[in-house]
Amino acid sequence: MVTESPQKPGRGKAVSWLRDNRVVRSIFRRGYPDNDLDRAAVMFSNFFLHVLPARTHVHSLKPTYTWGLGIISLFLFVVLLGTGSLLMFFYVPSTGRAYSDMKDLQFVVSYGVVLRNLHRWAAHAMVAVVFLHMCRVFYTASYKAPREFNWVIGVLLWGATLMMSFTGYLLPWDQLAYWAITVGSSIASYPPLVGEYIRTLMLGGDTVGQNALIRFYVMHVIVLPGVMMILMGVHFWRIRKDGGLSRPPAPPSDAAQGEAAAFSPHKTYMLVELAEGKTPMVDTQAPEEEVMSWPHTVFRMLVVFVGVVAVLSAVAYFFDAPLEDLANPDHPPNPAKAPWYFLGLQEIVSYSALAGGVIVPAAAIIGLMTIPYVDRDPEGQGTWFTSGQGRRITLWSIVAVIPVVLVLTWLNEHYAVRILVPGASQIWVDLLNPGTILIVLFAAGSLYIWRRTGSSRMGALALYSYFLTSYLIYTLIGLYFRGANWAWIWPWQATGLH
Amino acid sequence: MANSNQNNSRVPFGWVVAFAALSVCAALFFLLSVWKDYDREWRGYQRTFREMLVERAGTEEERKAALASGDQFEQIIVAGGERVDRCVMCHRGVEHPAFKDADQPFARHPTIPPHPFEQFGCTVCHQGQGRATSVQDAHGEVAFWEEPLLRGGFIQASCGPCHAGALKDAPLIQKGKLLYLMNGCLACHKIRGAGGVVGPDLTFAGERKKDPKWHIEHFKFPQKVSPGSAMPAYGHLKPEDLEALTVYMLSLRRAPSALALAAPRPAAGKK
Ligand code: HEC
Ligand code: HEC
Ligand code: HEC
Ligand code: HEC
Ligand code: HEM
Repeated sequence: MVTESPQKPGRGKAVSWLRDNRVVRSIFRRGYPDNDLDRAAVMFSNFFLHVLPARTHVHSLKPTYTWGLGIISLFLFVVLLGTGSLLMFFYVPSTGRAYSDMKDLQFVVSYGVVLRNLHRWAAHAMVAVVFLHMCRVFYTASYKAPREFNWVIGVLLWGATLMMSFTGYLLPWDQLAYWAITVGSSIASYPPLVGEYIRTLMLGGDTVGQNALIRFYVMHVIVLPGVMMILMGVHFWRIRKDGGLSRPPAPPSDAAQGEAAAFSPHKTYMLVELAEGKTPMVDTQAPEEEVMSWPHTVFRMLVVFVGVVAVLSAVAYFFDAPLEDLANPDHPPNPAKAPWYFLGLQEIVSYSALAGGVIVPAAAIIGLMTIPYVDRDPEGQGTWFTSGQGRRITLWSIVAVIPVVLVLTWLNEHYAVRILVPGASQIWVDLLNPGTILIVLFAAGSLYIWRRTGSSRMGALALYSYFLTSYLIYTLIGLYFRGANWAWIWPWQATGLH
Repeated sequence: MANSNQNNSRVPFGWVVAFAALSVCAALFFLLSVWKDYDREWRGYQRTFREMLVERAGTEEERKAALASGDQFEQIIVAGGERVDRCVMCHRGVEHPAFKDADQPFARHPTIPPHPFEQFGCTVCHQGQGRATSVQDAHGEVAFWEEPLLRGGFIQASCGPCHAGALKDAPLIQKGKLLYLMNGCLACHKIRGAGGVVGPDLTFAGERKKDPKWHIEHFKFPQKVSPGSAMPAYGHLKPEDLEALTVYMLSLRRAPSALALAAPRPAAGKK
């Protein structure tokens, strides 16, 4: 029962009636939790809260540790589900209607513009935030045992997020959508042997048309959200089972040593506690290191949610989602650009289709998936960049990559294989282009650092930073420095043809 | 429970402040969005139109009806939804006898007898963006809309696709056709199978380029709008002649489906 708080009689009565009437009690069985017992109980008995532990380690609540990026990703996803469901009431995935439906959203549907803006900007934000979340998990070495598999789930979530954004891109059926998807799907067709099948499977034909639209739509509104919800469920479950968020190992103390620490006379044990896996409180040394999740974790999450909504609604108020001309298969814009997160790949495709369409994406996926299984020693978990040495290696890796990428890009503009030897065979182009060369350099550089420092973690830090920086540069080049026929232009120049 | 530390049960004050500030911010933008959604351009024109209606009301009943009418959502659905024209949300006087001398957008439409609006809509003759409900968007004078409003003589171009023969109300088409033959365009361009092959086939030229300004510019400086073009410049022609040529070019398009469905149908979908 809730303890009666000392209040003025009149107000107290009204408040306690509001709190304690039968209907409210049937929903919130224990009333407002104002003592630790109820605070723990509310975390168990509330469906939405039970995914959180009853107590949270203070390290996990440090804003500068997670930057809230995972939870922001989740809230963006929630906003996207909400606005997306509403948009579905006004959208028919038919090439004859899709574009008009966009126009109707803009001009006559109540709150149509706001809905579209929120959905569009939240989608872009989610791609960026999920990526940043991945970087935070990487740089805090949180992928290490026992969290290896959750990292793999995360990589799948990253892929699903990209696919969500990519499939949604087509739906407005304007020139931007049509040509971005045409370019994007042609990148998918480069792998030898299977490439054409992938594209045909994706588009339901060899060009973007009605079949592609309905496929993208079903993927966008049913299949991928479903997959993501399941993956997120697993992701969160694993966080609990892996002992909460990663944190630096606690200094050994007398109180907690080996087996003895696992069983404490101050606790009653239930079956779940004896099952495999850790609970978030394992390894906790002292009561000062933990706080009740209600209100500490719950309230912070609420603040982050309101923050996400506030920022999104401000952006949606000031900036309208783009809508260009109706899709016209006879009028390719020059240049036709993929969605921004694939522009780095498109840039590398412009050097060599094999490099950009196969080698680089494959290296990235394989590299990401296997990192936790290659870099195994538990060093530096829960600390940004692991150590002072890690910090320096990360910084210098980023600094060193910039000139290398720029020089290779310049060399490729002026002394590419086909410029030196016009009739050179495709094999030489695929072997000697910035994409392939960089991969070799990156592998060599990170292996060198691994050997030099004797730490796989240092090698991994270097490798990740190389990839991150070079992809960022290529994205910027694709975004601002490529004009008609993918020729180099400066951002202040007109795009030439159009 | 062992530790019921009360200090520990309070959320740090900074987070409470952040919550309050962000909530206010979110609420503010929510309200602003609601207002922005309500405050649409066409409402202003409808308000002015109501005032004019009240002024021009002949009888007391008309006056009362005008006073009682509110903002109305109105559209003309042509050919089963292929075109949806909402021009009448602002152009409210097109069929009202009392608005003969009114200023735009309220003036009564010049009569062109056999084209009932509820069957033809507006954009089939005027171009522009039928679905739009703000001035610049509706008149198609914005980025990413290829069919700007045809102003002045250019409107004659749209009579061409439905009226194949000579039409006394659209003399510029005939004039343009003549100029086309006289200026040797035929040497390079084909129309319905007749002509040269240096330039593109112009049978449906009006479907590709729908902006009169583009054509005028193209005639004066072909290379400027179409880099590397082999077409000679026609800047030496009189402006009226360039206008006529443009009207002719714009008229070269297939008949809109509205013609096929010219039979009376329950149009004027009102919501
Ligand atoms: C939001 C209100 C609004 C809508 C919707 C609208 N108009 Fe107008 N229209 C105006 C106003 C205001 C003017 C007078 C100012 C001007 O010429 O731009 C005008 C003027 C015009 C003129 C006269 C132009 C001239 O050269 O004098 C034409 C023709 C016209 N509109 C056609 C259309 C057509 C066709 C549509 C539908 C596709 C349309 N309008 C939709 C507000 C509107
Ligand atoms: C059959 C073709 C046709 C249709 C349909 C049509 N118009 Fe027109 N409209 C014309 C022509 C032709 C003129 C020019 C008349 C003139 O200049 O004498 C004109 C003139 C106008 C003008 C005055 C422009 C000026 O220069 O002063 C407005 C405004 C206008 N139309 C609006 C509309 C609206 C709104 C609709 C739909 C309800 C509509 N029109 C439907 C052919 C059409
Ligand atoms: C969407 C097709 C369409 C467009 C565009 C169109 N008309 Fe018509 N017009 C018709 C039809 C249909 C009739 C009715 C023919 C009938 O009933 O015999 C008609 C009849 C007429 C008539 C009566 C002549 C007759 O033979 O009875 C005139 C005059 C006319 N149109 C002028 C114009 C002018 C001027 C324009 C351009 C501003 C124009 N029309 C644009 C479809 C169109
Ligand atoms: C010497 C050959 C030549 C002559 C004569 C010529 N043109 Fe062209 N025209 C071209 C070529 C080549 C193009 C394609 C390049 C361009 O768009 O300018 C073209 C393009 C066009 C286009 C744009 C077609 C489109 O869909 O993009 C139009 C309209 C046009 N011409 C009209 C005319 C008219 C009207 C005349 C006569 C006054 C004329 N041309 C005379 C060669 C010619
Ligand atoms: C839809 C996308 C995703 C959502 C909604 C999501 C959500 C979350 C949340 C809420 C957390 C709690 C900690 C925090 O906020 O940082 C978390 C942790 C974690 N995430 Fe994600 N995540 C997503 C994608 C990813 C990706 C792409 C990866 C890596 C490839 C990843 C790997 C991890 C790992 C390993 C943890 C545990 C971190 C730790 O213990 O410190 N997640 N995720």
